[in-house]
Amino acid sequence: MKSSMRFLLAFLFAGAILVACKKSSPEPEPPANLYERLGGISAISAVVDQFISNVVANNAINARFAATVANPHRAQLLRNNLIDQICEATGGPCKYKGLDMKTAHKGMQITDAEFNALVADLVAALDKFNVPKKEKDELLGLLAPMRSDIVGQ
Amino acid sequence: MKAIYPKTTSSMRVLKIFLAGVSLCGLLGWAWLRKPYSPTDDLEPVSYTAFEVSVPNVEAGFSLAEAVGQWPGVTATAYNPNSGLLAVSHTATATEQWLMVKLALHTGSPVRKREFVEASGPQCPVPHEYLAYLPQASLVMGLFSAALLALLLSAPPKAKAPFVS
Repeated sequence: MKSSMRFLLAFLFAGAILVACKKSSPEPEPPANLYERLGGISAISAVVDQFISNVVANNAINARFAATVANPHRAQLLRNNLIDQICEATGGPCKYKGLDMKTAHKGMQITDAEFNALVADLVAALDKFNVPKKEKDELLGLLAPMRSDIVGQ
Repeated sequence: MKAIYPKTTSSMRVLKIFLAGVSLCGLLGWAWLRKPYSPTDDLEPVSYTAFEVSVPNVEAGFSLAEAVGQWPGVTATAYNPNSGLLAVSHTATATEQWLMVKLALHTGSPVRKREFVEASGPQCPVPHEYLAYLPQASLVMGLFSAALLALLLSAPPKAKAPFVS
């Protein structure tokens, strides 16, 4: 009798612990960062390939990229730097290894019109892949502060 | 009576110091030059080529870009009606020559590649692609020198008979 009472008490105690430890309601999943919402590295690289293609076909600004496109190694470097930059800015695991924007564009005298044409090519690339407006605005918002470091340097 | 083994020659000592210096410089250089890993390092390299295509109208240009985008090795295409250029982003699977021939067959008209010229003016005499291998070269130099040094240090003393005084 005594041992069965002890067993019952232990059973109840274990049950109480289990009930106490059980989460009352499942915790909501943390919201995915922009990198994940964009679709990760493969989606970003697809957008960047489209973006550079848009720029190469655009006579208004492709002269600025002529030397880069003519050299496959430099073109590759530009592409990887763009992917790294977007990936890192959106919370992805990449590490941007290029120069800071001010140093990279020093002496280029890039105009507002050229910068706007570049942004239009990026927007066209995002639209081609049907990136939702929220994600598109968020990404453009992350890249917008670079404008002052690129234009008129 | 004590045995005196021949001392390391001065040239050997200089060689050891030289190797130690080279291996140290090589390894420090590698540590300083190497870039952090990024997932982009694993992406397949692509090239960008622009073709001057003649199409009857704008819609035909856009549908040509759509069709080219489906070809193997093509990662992106863009047709700009203002420039008449079709820009293609492609991997090594789709070479420029192959693309040009296929485009000519597809459009039924000659296709010309838009040549972009490299910047004129003062440039680094070492090609960019060589500079990219500098960290690896530095590491190889450092490891090779360290291995040679270890080999020299672990070698037994010369097998000459000791002088006996």
